[in-house]
Amino acid sequence: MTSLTTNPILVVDDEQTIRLGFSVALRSAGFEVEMAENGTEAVERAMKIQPDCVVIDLRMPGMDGLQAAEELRSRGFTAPIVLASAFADHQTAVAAIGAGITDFLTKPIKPTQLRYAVNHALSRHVRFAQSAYGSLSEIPNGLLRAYAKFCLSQRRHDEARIALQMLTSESNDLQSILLLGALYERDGQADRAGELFVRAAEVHARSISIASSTELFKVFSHSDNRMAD
Amino acid sequence: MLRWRLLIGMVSIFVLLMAVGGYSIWLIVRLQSDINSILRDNYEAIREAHSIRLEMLRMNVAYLKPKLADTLAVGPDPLETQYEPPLERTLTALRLLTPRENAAEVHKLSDEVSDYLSTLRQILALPPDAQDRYNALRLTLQPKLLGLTETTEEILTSNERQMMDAQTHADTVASDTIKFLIGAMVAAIGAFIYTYYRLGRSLVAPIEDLTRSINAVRDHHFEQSVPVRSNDELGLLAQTFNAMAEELRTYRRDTDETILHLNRSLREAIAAFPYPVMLLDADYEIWVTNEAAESFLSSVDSSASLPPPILERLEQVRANRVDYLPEGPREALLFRVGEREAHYLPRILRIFSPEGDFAGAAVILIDVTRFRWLDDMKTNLISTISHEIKTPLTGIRMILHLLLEKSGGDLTKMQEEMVQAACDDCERLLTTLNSLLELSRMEAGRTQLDLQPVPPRDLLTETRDAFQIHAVGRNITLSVHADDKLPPVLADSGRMIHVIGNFTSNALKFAPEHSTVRLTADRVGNKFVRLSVIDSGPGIPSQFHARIFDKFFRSPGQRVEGVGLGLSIAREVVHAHDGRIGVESVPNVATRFYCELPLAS
Repeated sequence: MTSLTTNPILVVDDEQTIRLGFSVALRSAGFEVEMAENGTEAVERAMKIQPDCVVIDLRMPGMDGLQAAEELRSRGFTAPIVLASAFADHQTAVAAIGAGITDFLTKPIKPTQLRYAVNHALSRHVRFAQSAYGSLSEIPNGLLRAYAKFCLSQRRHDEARIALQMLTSESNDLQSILLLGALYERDGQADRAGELFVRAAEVHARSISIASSTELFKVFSHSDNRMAD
Repeated sequence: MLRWRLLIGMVSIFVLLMAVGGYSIWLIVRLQSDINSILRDNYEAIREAHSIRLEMLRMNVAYLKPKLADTLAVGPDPLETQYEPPLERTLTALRLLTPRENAAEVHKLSDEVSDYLSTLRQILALPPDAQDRYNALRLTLQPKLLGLTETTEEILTSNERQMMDAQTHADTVASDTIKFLIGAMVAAIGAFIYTYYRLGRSLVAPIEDLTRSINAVRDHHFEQSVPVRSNDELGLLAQTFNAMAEELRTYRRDTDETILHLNRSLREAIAAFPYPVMLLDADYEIWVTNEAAESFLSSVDSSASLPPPILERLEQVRANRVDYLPEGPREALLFRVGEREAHYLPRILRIFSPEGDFAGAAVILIDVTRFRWLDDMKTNLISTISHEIKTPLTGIRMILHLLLEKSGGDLTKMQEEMVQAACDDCERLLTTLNSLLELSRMEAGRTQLDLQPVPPRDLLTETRDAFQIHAVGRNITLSVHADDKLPPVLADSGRMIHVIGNFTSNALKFAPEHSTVRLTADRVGNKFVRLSVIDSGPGIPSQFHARIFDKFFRSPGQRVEGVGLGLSIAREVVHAHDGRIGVESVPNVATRFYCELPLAS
């Protein structure tokens, strides 16, 4: 695991307890951890220390997590950014995709969930950031979704969309459907987004009670932590 | 009275007719007998007079001449045997027949006959062929005979005159009778006309009056009264009618007053009502409104008389034949009233005609804007507080988990136990928070259901499977009783399993050990399936049945842990399914928590 990081992980939260908890959880897994208390500080610190991963809280005084992520991406920061929030709603999910968020964690979070999310974000990033694929067809099917998520985190939306369209046309993969829906919604294509959300609801109708896209994203963020890419 | 008058009228005409008829008959009969007797008497008298003349003539011719000429054979003189008796007889008859006024003439005739006969005897006593005898005969007897004949002639003339008199008398009587009869007829006609007129006046006029008045009453003019013309039956009828009209007048006045009063009260009540109230007819035309309704209608931007969402519900009410009486403020309609948004909860009650047809509706719009605002505030508050609690809880939970993971170093046995206890509490707090959030989301109507046709049995078996371990731990048997043939219900199965799970979890808490908790599904009516969880625990006193689904409600004396949100959530979920939720309880025998879900078809 440690081999994935050369630089520290940046934990950003206005709550001291959470900063402490997150840092202990990550340190115990062998990560080096730096901390920031708000969005502005986070951007400064990240640009300075170039962390391998940022775990950032959504709600913070001043610049919030999404704004910070957007600022980082616009400054050319490419490392994975994991958003942790007590709010798992639809708007947040769509905004997160636009802001270049790599992953989405719903509070409260257990230490294992945090480590799992960070590890996957890192491994995905490491895999795709260093090996340039010539075209999408070169990517093995099993990695296509991970690649799409990577593209989203780098705000390469066109690539992500093509990858997700390929995935959703071949299978009823819930995450892919949701991501594509959110992407369409972000692009203002509400009709297409709606269709995909309805489809997502149908896919999961009988297993878990999901109806609204808010619920769907909640499932998505949880399932993301359970499922390997 | 009228009957008497009718009788009197008829009887008088009848008596008059009988009297006239009887009198006429009597007159005719008398006249006839008078004429007859006069004619007969006179005729007899004439005949007798003629017969005297005839006897005399015969005597003169057959007896006198030969007697005078020669001596007749000796023997009884035929004068005495042959001629005198008939003469005597005739004279007697004539005397009897002749009326008294002619008696003198008959007497004279009788004297003359006697004189003539005695003279004749004297002459005959003279010797035959004597000149004296002849002279005597010529000079004495001849004039006597002439006188006798004249007297007879007089009698005849008298009789004939009497006959003429009788004729004249009869004529007079007849003409008198005719006059009398004409007079009687005229009188009868007069009496008839009079009776007719009087009867017409006393019979027809009141009936016509009555008819007029009845027609007037029929046209609701109760002021009309019938003149009382008499105190007979019709008069009584008119009086009775007038009394009835008076009653009706009074009744209508009372009724009018009552209606007026009621109407005024109603209008005032409606006017005083702070919410818009509109009464509509069958074509949804508004005929009564209050001030609130006026201002609502004028401020709501609607080209139609009523805003479309209300019309829609009106149509539903009319089609479904059920009043629309929503309860929750969530069913309120949003209107832009002027600058502000207003939530109105429409209540639509049907109005029926006396025949029971749909005659319109009363629409009451209850302004629940404030309720909605408070409700939203509450929901937001719950949501905000939950999140505010959740954030530090996240840190606490994280740290507790890390401690248990021994990331910060080893723990003593006691420390580990304490941290574990704190961690458990933390989890429970989190569950409560999630329930609260779930509830506020449900109440805010933000949760959409994924409704699919689900066999009722599946919902029960899945719930049983989820709680099987729990039940075994408490030595309770979970049994499912559901017919496979039950039609599917329209349900969000995940949420419904949660609801039935909530019932089951409660049942497992309260059911005595070694008992059975039954999960059943039965059809209720044509549209619902009832899913029940039945335990044999202490149950819930009936006074709490209405409140048991309220938020944070705990029945007094309940020792089992929980914050009392489970049933509230269950109720919200079931209501979101357009279903019903309820509880029936016979303490220590059976307590049934149930929900009824609509069939999928």
